[in-house]
Formats: sequence, C-alpha cells, structure tokens
Amino acid sequence: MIFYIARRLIWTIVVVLCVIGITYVVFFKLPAGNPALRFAGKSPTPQELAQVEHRLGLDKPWYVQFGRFAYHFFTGDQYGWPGLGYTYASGASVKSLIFSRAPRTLFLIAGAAVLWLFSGVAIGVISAVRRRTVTDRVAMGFALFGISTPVFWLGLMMLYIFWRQLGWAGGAGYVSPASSPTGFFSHMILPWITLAMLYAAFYARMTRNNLLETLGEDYIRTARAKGLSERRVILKHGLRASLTPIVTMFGMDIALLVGGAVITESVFNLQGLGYLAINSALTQDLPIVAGVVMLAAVAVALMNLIVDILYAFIDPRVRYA
Amino acid sequence: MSTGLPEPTRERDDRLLLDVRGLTVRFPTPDGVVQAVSDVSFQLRRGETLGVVGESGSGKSVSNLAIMGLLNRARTVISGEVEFKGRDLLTLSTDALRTVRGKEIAMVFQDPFACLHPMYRVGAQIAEAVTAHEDVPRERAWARAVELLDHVGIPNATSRARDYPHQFSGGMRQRAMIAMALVHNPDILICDEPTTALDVTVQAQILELIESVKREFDIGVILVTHDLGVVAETANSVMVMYAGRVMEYGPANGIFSRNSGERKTSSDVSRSAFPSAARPSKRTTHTTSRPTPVWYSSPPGRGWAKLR
Repeated sequence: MIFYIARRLIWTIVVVLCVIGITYVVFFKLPAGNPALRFAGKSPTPQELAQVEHRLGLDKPWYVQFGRFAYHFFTGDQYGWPGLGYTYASGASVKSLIFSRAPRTLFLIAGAAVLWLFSGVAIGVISAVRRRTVTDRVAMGFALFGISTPVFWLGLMMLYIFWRQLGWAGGAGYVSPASSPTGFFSHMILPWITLAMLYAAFYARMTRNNLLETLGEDYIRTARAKGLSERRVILKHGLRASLTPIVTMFGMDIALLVGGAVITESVFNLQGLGYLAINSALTQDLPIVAGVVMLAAVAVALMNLIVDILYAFIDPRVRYA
Repeated sequence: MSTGLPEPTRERDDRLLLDVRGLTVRFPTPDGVVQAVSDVSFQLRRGETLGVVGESGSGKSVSNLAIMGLLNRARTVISGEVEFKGRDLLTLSTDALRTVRGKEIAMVFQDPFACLHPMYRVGAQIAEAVTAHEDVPRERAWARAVELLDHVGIPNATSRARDYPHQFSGGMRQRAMIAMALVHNPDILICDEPTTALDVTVQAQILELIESVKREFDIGVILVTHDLGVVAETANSVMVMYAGRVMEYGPANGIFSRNSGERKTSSDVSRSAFPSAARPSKRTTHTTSRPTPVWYSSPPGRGWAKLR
C-alpha cells in the first residue's frame, strides 16, 4: 500500500509538470500579443521593450522558461519553497497571492460539498425507497430543476430574494472567518447553496439509480431473508454498495472545483482562485496562470489518489498490487 | 380429556410445520396479469425433505419467495393460506413476518456468488443474522458465527470468518449461507436450487450437509431443484411443478417407482424428466424443448394441456 501511494505520488508530480509544460506551450505558441508591451509604458522603444522582456524572462524560448519554473519549483526561490515566481504585473510573490485567494475558494467548495453530498444522497435514497410516488416525482423534479438551472441565474435570484428582499443573508463579497465568523457564514451561505444545488441534483439522481439497481441484487434478498428491518437493508446493505461511484464522482467534482468555481465566485464577488486565474489569463500574467493551473492539477491528481485509496476501504474486492 | 398416552394422529399433527393451501401468486404487469403460481397445496413435516422439481419458470422459486414473504407485496397479488405454527403467514403484518424470516424459516439461495454482500466480512454477515433477532453483544454474535462456520465444515473458521466473500470458493460460500440460515435453529430450511451454481463434486457435499443439518436439528427442508437424481436420493416427498401448477405430489418412492416402470403416468412432465434407458423414445425431451408458457390469465385446466 505504501509503495502504491509512493508510486502514485511520483506520477502525480510527472503529470503536474506535463500539465504546466502544456500551459507554457499554449501561452507562448498561441498568438495573444506580447505581455511585455503591457509593462513597458506608452509607445516603448525597441530597447525598452527588450529590457522589459529580459526582466520578465520573456526573451528566452518557452522551454527555458518552463525549465526555470520547474527548477524554482523544486529548489525554491526568494519566497521559499515551492518557488512559484512573481507576477509580471506587480512583482508580488505568486505563492502569497494564491495563498491569500485559496481559502475563499476552498471554503466555498468545502461548504458546498458537505451540503450537496448529504442532501443529494438523502434525496436519492428517499426517492429510491418511495419509487413512483409523489415524493419521488417531487424529488426528481427538483433534480431536473437543479441540473437545468444556470448557476449565474440561480445565484442572482438567491441574492435578490434572500439578501435584497428578505435580508436573511449577507450580500456579495467575502468576509474572512477570522474577522467575523457570523459575517463569514452570512456571506457564504448563498454561494454554498447555489453551488451545491447543481451537484445535489446530480447526486440525487445518481444515488437513486444506483440504489434501485443495488436493491435488485441477490444479496439484498439475502439481507431481507435474514429478517433485517427494511431500513437496515437499504441503508447498510443497499447504500454501501451504491457508494462507490458516488465517491469517485465526489472526488473528481471537488478537484475540478479547486481550479475555480468561476461563475459562483463571480456572481458573489468572492475573488477566489477562479477569479484570479481568469483575471491573470486576461492580463497575460503567466506566472499566476501557471501557479493556479498547477494547484488545480495537483488537486485533481491528489483527489484521484484519495479516491483510489478510499475504494480499497469501501470495496474489499479492490486490491492493489 | 387426554389419556396421557400420545395419540398417533395428534403426534403426527405436532410434527406438521407448514400447511400450504391453494397458494396462488399473480403479478400485475402492463401486458396483463401473470399468474406465476396457481393453486399450490402441500404440507411439510419435521424431519421431512420435500423435493420441488420443475423446469425454469414453473413457479418453484416464486412459491417459496411467497412463503418467505420476500415478494414485494405492493406489486404482487397472493392468495391462499400458508399456515405455519397456527399462523397464516400471508396475512401476517410485515413486521410480524420479519420476526419469522431468518428465525423460524430460513432460506438458502441458488447463487452463492451473488447472495453474499461483497463488501462485508462473511463472519459479520452471519453475526448480523444473529443480532437481527437476538439482542446480544457483538462479540457473542461473532462467536456464534465462527461456531456455525466451523459446524458447516469451513476449515480455520476463526480466521476465515474475517474473510470477504470473494476469498471463498463457491462451495464455501454456500456453506456460509447455510451457516447463516442455521443461526437461530429454524424450523424450516428452504433451499432454492442450492447446488445449481456449484461444481458437481461440491454439489454432493452441500446436499450431504443439508441432509445432516436436517437430521441434527430435526427440521423440515424444502429442496427446490432441477436435478431429479438429487430428489431421488434425499427427498421424502416430491412435488412436480409446471407452469405454476402442481403436476404431481406424493411420497418420493411412489412417484419414482411409478415413473421408472412401463406404466403411463398422469404427468407428462415427470415422465419426460426421467429419460429412462429402458424407453429411449423421441418423446423423452419434448417438455423441455418447449418454452414455458407465461399465463396472462388463469389458465384453464392443467398447465400444459393447452400446448397440445
């Protein structure tokens, strides 16, 4: 198991480097204009432009810059390890920039994930147990609504109803939990619900379908033949076997969101990682883009690993060689 | 007033476990009502093995599931009476039925590969059967599971109880299923084709195990099977089913002697099922070559009569 994890971690590093290499290629090979122009002042002379290019390291081919990035990443730079360099725009440390934005995105994901996992699975179970009843139809109607509603519209409606009209929740913007815990919750609850809605709908559908399939299995009949209560049959025997695909999806969903829940962040003006990534892509601030991309790639690879390890706990038939 | 001496007839009734009268099972479907079991009646006594034979779709399994209350009541129409220890199982509430299931009537299913939960340890699944009806601490339940696994012939039961089903062979899984069924010393053990999914050599061992369990605990066994050889060897009485109906029902020796001779019997089904060397006729396989009829309404007369 330890060898397995070590091997996977090494692969994770390789994958992350490949992803960032591709980011560099895309950045330099796609015609998007010279980033140096942005920082060289008004109508710069070729000498000034070359000077800026040299300062930002843009006079070297992409692979040299990528090599430099990788080198600094492993050995660290003036801001410590891992070295992510500094931004073109202000010369600030990319790492501290990411660290300052990451909590916003991570809090958003964590809260929403708890919400959607529990509500989604609960709705799915109820729907499966009460199959073809009004409850089931209402639940699946909710799922259809959640899946088909655009996040930006839902977010704006939430803000309008619960902040503007009812005043139950805080409006857009981010309040750090350290400065005001209540303010934090009041400002996060709407983004949480908005982001969770879409996923809860997916999870409810998936739980329902998986559970219905599982409940047709022979070992469910065995559980009933033992004289177990229906509740135990469904929750212990049925749900356990239906969990595997849900765990996979949960890991992937969280990982993908680390790259930025861009729309939710924008609607609620949270200025998290997604906002940072989009902004720096627009201003051609390569180091920040590379930093966020790396974080997202690491998240995907790590969540993959965690999901695989969780598999072994959930399903004993899975064995690692 | 009783004379104090056991009356022979009373004594026999005491040993009566199950009295099934006119059991009929219908499944309403969008295409019409499927009558899977029609007017099935039989009795089961302690120490008796009732062999139920018939081809696939003849209603063998469905009748047993109906007795166990394992058919979805919302989607089945069951009529008749299933009297067990003075109670009609068909009219029992779901909760009351659950206290019978796994405690007084236990069941072993056809495919041991699919019947154990793949994600729980074998011992835990048996221990769960213990705690389902008895409020005992976890360790006691586990000890009982180990004891039963040992009893049904699992070597190193203490360590094997910690295994998962996929670490067991088919025969061992079926042994584990039997151990699970024996947890509460049931009165009736229903075995629904317990050997169909197993190797031939293992089949004999499992049947032997069921037989020894029956003798040891003095219980009644319903043995559903395709295999008439099995029935001939172990059953005291035989019920032959076809298209949801009982074609023949009686003591095993009666049915077998009748069919092995030259005499033409009332049942084409059992006759066709005994491909006798003495009578190698073309007709020996005719019933099995036909598809089993699905009845969308109560069939008139005998199940196969219409097919002629």
